[in-house]
Amino acid sequence: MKRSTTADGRVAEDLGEHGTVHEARGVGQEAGVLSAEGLVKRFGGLVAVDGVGLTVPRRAVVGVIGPNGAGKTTLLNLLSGALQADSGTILLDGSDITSANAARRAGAGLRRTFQNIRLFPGMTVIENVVVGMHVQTRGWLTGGILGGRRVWAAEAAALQTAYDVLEEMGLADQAGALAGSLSYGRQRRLEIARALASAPRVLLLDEPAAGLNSAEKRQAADMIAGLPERYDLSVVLVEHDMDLVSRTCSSVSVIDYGRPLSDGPPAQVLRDQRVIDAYLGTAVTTV
Amino acid sequence: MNLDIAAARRGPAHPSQAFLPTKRSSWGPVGVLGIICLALIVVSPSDYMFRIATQVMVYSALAMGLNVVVGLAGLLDLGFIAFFGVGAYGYALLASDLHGIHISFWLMLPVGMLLAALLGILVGLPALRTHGDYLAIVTLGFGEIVSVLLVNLDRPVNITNGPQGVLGIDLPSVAGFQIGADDVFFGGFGLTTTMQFFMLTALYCLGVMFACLRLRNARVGRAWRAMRESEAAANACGISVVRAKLSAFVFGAAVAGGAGVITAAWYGSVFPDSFLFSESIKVLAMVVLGGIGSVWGAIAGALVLVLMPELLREFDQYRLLIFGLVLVLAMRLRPQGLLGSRSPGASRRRLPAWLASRRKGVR
Repeated sequence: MKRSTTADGRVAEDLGEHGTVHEARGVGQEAGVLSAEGLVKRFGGLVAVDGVGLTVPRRAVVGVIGPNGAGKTTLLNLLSGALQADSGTILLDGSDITSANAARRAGAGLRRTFQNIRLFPGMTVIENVVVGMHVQTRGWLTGGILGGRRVWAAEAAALQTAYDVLEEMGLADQAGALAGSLSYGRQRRLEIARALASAPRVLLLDEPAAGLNSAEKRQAADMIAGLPERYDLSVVLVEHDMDLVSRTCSSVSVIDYGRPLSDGPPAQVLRDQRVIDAYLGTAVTTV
Repeated sequence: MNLDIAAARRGPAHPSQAFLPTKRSSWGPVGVLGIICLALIVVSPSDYMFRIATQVMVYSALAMGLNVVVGLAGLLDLGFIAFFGVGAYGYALLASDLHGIHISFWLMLPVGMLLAALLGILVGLPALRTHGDYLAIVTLGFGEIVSVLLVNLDRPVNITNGPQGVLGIDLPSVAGFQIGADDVFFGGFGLTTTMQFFMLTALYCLGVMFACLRLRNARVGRAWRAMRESEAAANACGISVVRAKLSAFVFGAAVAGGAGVITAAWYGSVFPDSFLFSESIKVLAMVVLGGIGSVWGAIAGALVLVLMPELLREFDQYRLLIFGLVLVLAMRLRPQGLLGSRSPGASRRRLPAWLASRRKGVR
């Protein structure tokens, strides 16, 4: 397996971790930072997600793949709270967040990015990141008008953290520029920086490599693979790009027609005949 | 994480400090406007000029309040003047001979703001669950309800005195001195009653300006601007969109309520037809003409829209025609408004794009 040499041997390390994942699953889902059970979402007559579960271990990168329209993004929306599930439960760090809305979940440390980048284009790059730290900053109307030590201290601290994250993501040189003026690849990175600055427990990435060229994709793969260690978080990666998935993920869940099809380590899943039939086709031989 | 600004200043400066909107940044513009007001008092032009200046101050406060709702939070509120009416009528009813109640102006100023704010919550809670054009229609309906109530609440029990309005409203007083009762002279320098009210109104306007400038770059202002640009992304950042919208709405309402109390005291009378839909549109026009989202823009918009009809008086019956034409030209030539925000962090979106995004609703 040549893969194990990429990303500073991280993939091999993650694959090693995967063994404990299976054990943990046998014991129960408490071991996962984020775990979802039996999620169902109907749009009228269409069942977009039908009984999908997911366990995300601590500091793991878990991939979600599937053909177009399989319900990947819907699943991510259910996890992030952008959509409410019709049935099923979602636990974050052991507490039930099934009925919490998107803002609550974000506040609890469950952050996401969007498939079609959603920044605040008319705000500066650093402001975008500080907005991402909404939960870490203080004051509302009276606090905003009158200020006070507590408010300003939190502002200064947030600004510093934001700047440091921007520096790590290689965006600090444009901290004062409008987010909308950034190049496409940088906008993608900014969206991740915005989520990272709040020190999330789990980061949901919706096709973070979409629209990137191959060099940028490799860069993104290294960055994503390094996130769990650097920021002490887990990643759920919804992606089309098989190369990126196999470079970064310790385990992969495949869904098709909203149903769970297969899961396991990428190498095993990509060889699964059902997965090949569903959508990978001959791609496996080229991976 | 627990960083103190003073400590940060003492230590080696972190590069992030270049982006710290300092506490002082809101004092500067307030100081500039304050000095302009003071200069006006020192020069002391005619009473007519001061009446117009006072009007500019009232409308500036209103426009800055609406600017928070429309410009920062991106909520199209077409019934804004109703909150102004609630403040004005609140003071008129509780500080005149109509009901024989005479509550102090200084008590009624916060109470009027609170009343308007409460009404803002009442209307906002259901209304803010609608988006874009629908919100505009709901607020339009609310504005109409208030103006109809003001006219018709004279039967069966007389509350508002109907179309006759309320006359003989109390003057504010400070330590036994009634503001606006008599001209006062200090040696050769005189303060006419109009000038006294100008000072009161200017102080209120300065306070509102300070609040608006502070809020813009505070946590809540960032939340408003973020929400205007993308509700879904704001949500994903942990911002409760309903709470953010409601607080923008309530802040705007309170500003308008306070302006209402002051205006009622200044005029000494209120009439229901001062709070019609056209007034809401006038304030909205000030915000748009000045530059959506800009505090100085709101003031400039108020200045232009109050001054222009006065300057055009000599055109007599063509006055409104020219007024309308100038507005159309201004928006055609400068769609981002007279002082469309160019500072970092401000939206550079132009009016057509902004309107288009309104039309699309949630984004």
